[in-house]
Amino acid sequence: MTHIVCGLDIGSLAAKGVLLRDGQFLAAKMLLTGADAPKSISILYADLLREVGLKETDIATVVATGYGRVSVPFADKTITEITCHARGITHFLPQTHTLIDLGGQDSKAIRIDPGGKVVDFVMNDKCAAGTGRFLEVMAHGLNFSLDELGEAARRAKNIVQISATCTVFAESEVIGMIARGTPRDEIARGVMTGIAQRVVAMAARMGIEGPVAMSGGVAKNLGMVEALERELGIKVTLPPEPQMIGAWGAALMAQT
Amino acid sequence: MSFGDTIQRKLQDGSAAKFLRSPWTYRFFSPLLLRESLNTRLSFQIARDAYLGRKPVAFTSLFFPAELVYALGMTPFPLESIAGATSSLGMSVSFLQKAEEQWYSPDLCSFHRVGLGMALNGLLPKPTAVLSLSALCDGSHRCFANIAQFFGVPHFLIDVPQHRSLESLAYVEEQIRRIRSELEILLQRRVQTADWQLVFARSREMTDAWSGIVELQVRIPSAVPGDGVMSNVSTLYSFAGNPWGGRIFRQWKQRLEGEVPKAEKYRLFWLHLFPFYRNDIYDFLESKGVSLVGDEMTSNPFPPLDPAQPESSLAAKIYANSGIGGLEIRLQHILEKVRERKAQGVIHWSHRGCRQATGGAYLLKEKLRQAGIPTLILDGDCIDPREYASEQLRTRIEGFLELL
Ligand code: SF4
Repeated sequence: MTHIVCGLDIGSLAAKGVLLRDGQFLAAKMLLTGADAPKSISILYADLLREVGLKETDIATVVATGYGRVSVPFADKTITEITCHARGITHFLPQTHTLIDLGGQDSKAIRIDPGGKVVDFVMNDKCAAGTGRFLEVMAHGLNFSLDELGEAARRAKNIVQISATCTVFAESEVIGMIARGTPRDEIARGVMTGIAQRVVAMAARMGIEGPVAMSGGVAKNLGMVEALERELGIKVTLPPEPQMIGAWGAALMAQT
Repeated sequence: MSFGDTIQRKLQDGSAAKFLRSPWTYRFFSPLLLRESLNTRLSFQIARDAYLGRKPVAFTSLFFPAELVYALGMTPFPLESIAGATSSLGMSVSFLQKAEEQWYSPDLCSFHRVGLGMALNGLLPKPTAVLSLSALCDGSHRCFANIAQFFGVPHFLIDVPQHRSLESLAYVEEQIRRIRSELEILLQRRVQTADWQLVFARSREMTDAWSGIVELQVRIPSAVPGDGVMSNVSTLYSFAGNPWGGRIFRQWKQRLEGEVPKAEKYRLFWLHLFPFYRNDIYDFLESKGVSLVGDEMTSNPFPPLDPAQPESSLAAKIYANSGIGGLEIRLQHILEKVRERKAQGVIHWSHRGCRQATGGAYLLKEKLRQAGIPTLILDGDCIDPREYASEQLRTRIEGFLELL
């Protein structure tokens, strides 16, 4: 008999789901969480099942993770995104010792032992600086899409320093720079570097040990990945779908 | 309606100052108090003595030796503990705002900002003297000096060198002797050996009774509820020498012994202080099967107090606090208690504005890691509920339990 499990990662910006059949990939989906998280969760789950022609009763176990994990009424178990990200990344990149996860509203660094177990973790304080939300606000201030922001940062020859940590102040700083004629590419690079510096300082409190991998939606932004590599002084490895790592981890945990 | 509920209502409608200073308040509530806990009765008694001016009032900082205050026949009015009580009544924010309006920096420890806000709002009784210690932090005595100036009363400071040595001990002892004699002149009352005997006996009775609670904590899983673990630091320090101390802990122990122990999955030790306002940390920990098997502040040793050498005894008591004298002393104390109480890990509550405790938190965490003890650092504020982010804390705690 086949054993089908589901992992759901309900983040602040996006809800993600992964289905595994006997440990093998079956389906994955992502949806913006929006204001009505429970509704988005039901839609996501229904879409996932429909895609592979399954019913709820076919799913042996559902594990929910992420900030919205408690809003999944049909979950058999909830596990934090800390443990799920560690589990997910170990599946794709088993050598990883440090995982940097930059999500919509939080950033975290997780130290993982060779068996995939979490040894320690640090998370950002309740401030959006260093998270996906910060990037969104900065991209808006610069009139770039998120992808364009990353590309602009990679193109820049020089870098400007963004000194404000607060998202709101940083946005006004950026707007002021644009008004003074500072090239937008250089500002974009300054934004990425600022985030990378904060994330590295946070991770250093826990101790950074290579190999380092990155997950979370922000990892799709190559400008950000490069900025992190510059600040860390080492290469950062990316899994195939960085944003899905939490859901993968949840699904893998559902198997056990 | 209880005394506590009434104060809360009076604070909300702005009539608390009048209520606390009216003899009718105490006449009315006195007979009703028999139904209340001993802790409430102690608070009532202190409020009555202080606001009606029945006894000279000493504003004290948390670790100032309360035995000296009692021996002098004064009522201790521990401002940091009062700030905690105000926060638990849900009233700290208005005092914090008042202090900020008057130019006190929001970076200043909120324990002190509440004290300042209460003074500015006319809610504190008139003190005879302000007594403080330069330990654990040096923000404290600056704030107390300010309050003394506000009320126009003398401020007596015991300067506690961080360097532990016989000279430091003698220096502290000498200051206690000088403060005692200056207060004796001010109050026109001499402390007799019999006063020391009585006050020291009460202090010992209380710490002995407290040891009974600790013994219970170690022996029976989840014997003491999380919030119970946390709420004793002010009784143990600010009211040492009060006749009720021993009874409070003995009665509590009796009650706890009658309760059925809960299932225990994890044993954790708590570092630094804890949030006083209504929060869901303790319930959450309990729902996850966590027993808090003690905390850093209430697990300091209490050395014997000798009535024949009161000043040197009190100096030794001050130095028994592991928060004095560098991080390695704090670390040794924590390691010892964690092992003694068989804790699997520690939670460090990093109170915003407290350089003393949070400054070394990550270094402490690293040293504990080397000793095989996992540490979770939670950032928050003990007094200001606006700094509390329930979901964020839950994720961190849950993640920490998963790694255990
Ligand atoms: S919490 Fe820290 S800063 Fe505040 S009174 Fe205590 S030691 Fe001082």
